[in-house]
Amino acid sequence: MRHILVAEDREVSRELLLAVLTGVGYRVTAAVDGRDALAKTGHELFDLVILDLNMPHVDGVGVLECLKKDPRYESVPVVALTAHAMEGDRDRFLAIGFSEYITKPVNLSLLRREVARLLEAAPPEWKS
Amino acid sequence: MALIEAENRFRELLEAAPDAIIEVDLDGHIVLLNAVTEKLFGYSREELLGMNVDDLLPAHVSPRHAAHRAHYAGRPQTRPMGSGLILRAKRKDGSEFPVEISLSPVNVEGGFHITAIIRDATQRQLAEERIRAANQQLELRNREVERANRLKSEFLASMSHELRTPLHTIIGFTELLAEELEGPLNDRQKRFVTHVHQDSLHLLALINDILDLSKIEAGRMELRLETFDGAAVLQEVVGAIRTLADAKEIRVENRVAWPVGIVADRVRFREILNNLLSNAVKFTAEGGDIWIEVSVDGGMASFSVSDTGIGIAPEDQQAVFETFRQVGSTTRGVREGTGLGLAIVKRLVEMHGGTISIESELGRGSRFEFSIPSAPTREPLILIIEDEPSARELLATYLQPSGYRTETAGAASEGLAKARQLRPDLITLDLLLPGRTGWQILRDLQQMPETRNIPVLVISVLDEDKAALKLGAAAYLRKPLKKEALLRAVRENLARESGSKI
Repeated sequence: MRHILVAEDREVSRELLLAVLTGVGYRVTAAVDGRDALAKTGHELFDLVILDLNMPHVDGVGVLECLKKDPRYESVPVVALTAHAMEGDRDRFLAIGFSEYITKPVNLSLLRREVARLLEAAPPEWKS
Repeated sequence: MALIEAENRFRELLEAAPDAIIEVDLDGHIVLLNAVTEKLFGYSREELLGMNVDDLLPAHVSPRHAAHRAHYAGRPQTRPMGSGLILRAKRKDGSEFPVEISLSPVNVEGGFHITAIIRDATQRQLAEERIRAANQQLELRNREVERANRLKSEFLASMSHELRTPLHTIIGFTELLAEELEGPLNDRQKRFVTHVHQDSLHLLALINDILDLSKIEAGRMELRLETFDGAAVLQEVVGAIRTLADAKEIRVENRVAWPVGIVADRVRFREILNNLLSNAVKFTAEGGDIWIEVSVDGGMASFSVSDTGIGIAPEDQQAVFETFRQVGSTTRGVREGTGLGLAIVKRLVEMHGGTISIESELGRGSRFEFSIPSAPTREPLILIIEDEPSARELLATYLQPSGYRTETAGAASEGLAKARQLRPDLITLDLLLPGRTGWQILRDLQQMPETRNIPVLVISVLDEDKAALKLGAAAYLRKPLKKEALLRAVRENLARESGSKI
């Protein structure tokens, strides 16, 4: 089963993301902030990572930068999630290495569609 | 005789002057003066005649004055008043006051004297000081207003973010419940969830209103212009407003039955319509009527929203466009909303290069008409991927009368090719295509960059809603398909896609 890491500091928002994805059958692990996300990606390899950009300790961009240095995560898609939608944002975030950029309020089917697409494009499941 | 007359006229002129006038010899002794001089310095004429002019100066400048006088005597020329220079003078009682002085040489037998015109500058200086102080005050206040304004904008921006964050999750969870993946809802529960959803969207709209207005006022609102069918957006807005209207048994008649191409910011255009229509519902009594019409003329499309509501008195008709204004005498206790709606509408219409006008009669109703630049139209294109010819036919007959263009594909490969080529606005997909390739199509559509943003409605006899949604289907419709359910899903998804496009 594909395993997704969702890092979002706000509890209610976190549960919403979890429900949207577990509801259609994914295995999802939650991280409560950027530091937690790095701890979890450190000893487990996820198939996809979704990062809220605005988190305490280490923000979404900070987590992405660390993941980019980790060879195991070389081809794991990382999705940015943010409440501030501004023109040109998408290109900016794709340019620094995010695989996709999704704005809040989260359109449920759009999120699932992007997740399905990115998982399909990612390499076969990692076996330990 | 003539000499005496000339002397008298000179005297009269001297005394009539508003300023003090004195004549001094090169040693500084006063030889001539007028009455104003006595008044100004507090000395009598007798005291002044023969007095040295240096004694009319304060002690700190007096000693240097002889040198100044000598310098002037060396190069005598008229030095007019008003060169901005203010000097100090001293009265008999020792008090000092500001003066302006003009100097000119006058020829006398065996040399020249100096005439000085002395004007009391006390009032001028006071006035200047007052102006300076007032300016300073004004600048301070301006700076304060600027700062307050900036703080207000920052506050609104951060506040609206704080307000929207929990709203976003409310909307998300409501949509999750409505999907019924977590378990079925009964009809009442479904209705309740719909109410929560509608009202949270409404609340979000209000918050966005406040942010919008603060953006407009700060000149930070930018329009994203595109060409689209205004009638389709109108239809969605009318559909959304119908629940409110039904509750008051108000008939809403949309008389715009054909596509109306406009060039506008889609989100803002929707906002304009939504504001005008919700106002119409709000201010129309139970059992009333609302109707919407359009006319296209001279490159502009004019939409009008009319109602049989309470109307607005002539003297209040312009005030309704002001911010935070609900015309008190006519609202009769209806105070729902921010009072910002029409102010925003007017500004948005004007930003698009249009105008808005109102016709109204108290107790009879109102008619708001606004214009927006028009453009040729394009109806949304829907690609139907379905192997059974009769089912294809049926879907097309459902869709075409509602203003959609349709294209059909009977096999998977044809469907994918057409999707890539035509870039339809929406795709309907049957899962059970020959060789069970429906799932593969869904997957392929997401992989191709040209097609991955196109919403896909999966239509099937199978019980595979969870799997389809997981793969990113926009909606799952079960056969046998009802026309209403299809049109609703198409409308919702076209609206959502266009709404989320940035």
